Amino acid sequence: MADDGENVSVMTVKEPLDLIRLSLDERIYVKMRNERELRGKLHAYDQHLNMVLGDAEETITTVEIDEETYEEVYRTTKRNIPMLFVRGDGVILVSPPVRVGV
Amino acid sequence: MFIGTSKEKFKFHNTLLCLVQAMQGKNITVDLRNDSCICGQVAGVDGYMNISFSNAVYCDPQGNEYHFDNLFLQGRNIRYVHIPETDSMLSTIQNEIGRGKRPKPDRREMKNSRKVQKAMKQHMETVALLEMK
Repeated sequence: MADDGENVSVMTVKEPLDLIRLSLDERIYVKMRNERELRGKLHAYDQHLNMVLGDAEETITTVEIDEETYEEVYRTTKRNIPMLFVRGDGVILVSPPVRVGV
Repeated sequence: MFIGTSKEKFKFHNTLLCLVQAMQGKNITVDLRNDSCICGQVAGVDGYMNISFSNAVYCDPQGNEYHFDNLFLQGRNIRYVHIPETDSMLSTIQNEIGRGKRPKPDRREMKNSRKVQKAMKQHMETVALLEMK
């Protein structure tokens, strides 16, 4: 039965969203609007790219200009959310499993 | 049972909206697109993900907190919904979709209607006639 399921998923990649289906139950990377990034386990998604991520880690990148040197300083803020529903209109891209250490 | 226009019902049954709908009555946190957030008890969700809260606290990005007895949030302002980890996703969705649905009538148990019986009888008579010839 197990390889049967794999065959089905390989056979039915007909549209882009099918690629996301292959990432179900895997950790994925989601780039969001407003310099936000999410990493988490994909539990569910729909055609709007609404998604449910488990053990999600959100990274917010803000740019500040140093008062003295006038250099751009990138600051990242991270937070963890155990279970997160993401509304699809904020999603820019979805990338399949991230390797550890990336 | 989900109430709304047919378009709203379609969205409810075909997107993850049903999951937000399942949050009804629970205390949740919603992050908005303007970096503020709302914590409160969900009173209702419609087909556009508009959410009405009762007993909500609105926190703006500066850290001020405002309390509202009733609060309506337009769906497109939502960025995230924090889901309380109580029960599994799949059972939540199945419960929500199945709620208020009429159980399917059991075809085997049902007797044919009089009209069907009559048609069947006529059909059998015709078949019998054909076989006689």
